[in-house]
Amino acid sequence: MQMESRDVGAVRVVRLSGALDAMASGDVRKQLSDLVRDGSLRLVVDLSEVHRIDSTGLGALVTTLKGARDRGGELVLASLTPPVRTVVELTRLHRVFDIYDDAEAAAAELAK
Amino acid sequence: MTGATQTLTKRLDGSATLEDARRFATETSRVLGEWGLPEDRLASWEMAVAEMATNVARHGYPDEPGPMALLLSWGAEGLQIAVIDHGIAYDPADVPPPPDPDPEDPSTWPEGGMGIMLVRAAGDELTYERDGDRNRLTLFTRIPRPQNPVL
Repeated sequence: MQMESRDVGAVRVVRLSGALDAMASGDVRKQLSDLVRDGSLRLVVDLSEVHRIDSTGLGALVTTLKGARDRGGELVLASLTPPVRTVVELTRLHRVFDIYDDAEAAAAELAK
Repeated sequence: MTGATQTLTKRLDGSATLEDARRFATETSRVLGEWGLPEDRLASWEMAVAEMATNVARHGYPDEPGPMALLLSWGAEGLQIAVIDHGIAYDPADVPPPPDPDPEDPSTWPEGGMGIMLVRAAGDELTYERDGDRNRLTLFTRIPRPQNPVL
């Protein structure tokens, strides 16, 4: 799993690539949590290059969202591929995450 | 004139590791695609295998990874996807589903326990059997294989 991040104003956009499964989710959880701990409190997670996510990957995203909210921040998801969207909806986490069609729109919304 | 439906089968053997869980998942999608199962359902079956096998890898063998196998079969009744191991007994029916998340209440947002929910959603029936020291978790989907024409 690859992770690239860039700043769009005060918003950090993190793009994940590969399978966000049990092999990858531990590292992803740690790196996202480190970003939050280090002060990146407005996070967009771009999932346009993630074609498989499992329950542990979802758990990593939920953990980071909770951490961000605890510090007064926000984490949103962008550019879900069809299989990822299916999993997010099956677990009803679309009720928890704000989801955007693309990372730029998400960053613009978080920057408000 | 038609003949009986031939059952297609494929078995993969490995060990209860996250690497083999990922391999089983990827192979499931490839094999079922080759068999001609609907393209739009491959991702959900791949997901189910990833969850079933990952669960064995994480919890099945407390000391070191033991054997784990994947059995795919598609016949007249439907599609069966089974993960077999010889680890500790584990019945997913004992696992309560996570609560429906309330957007206003972070304590209801699940960080785990979603795997079996995803497995159930991918098929019609989920069955657990313990036979001696063997566990077999089978996901059945009512999608009969068409009869083969006899030439």
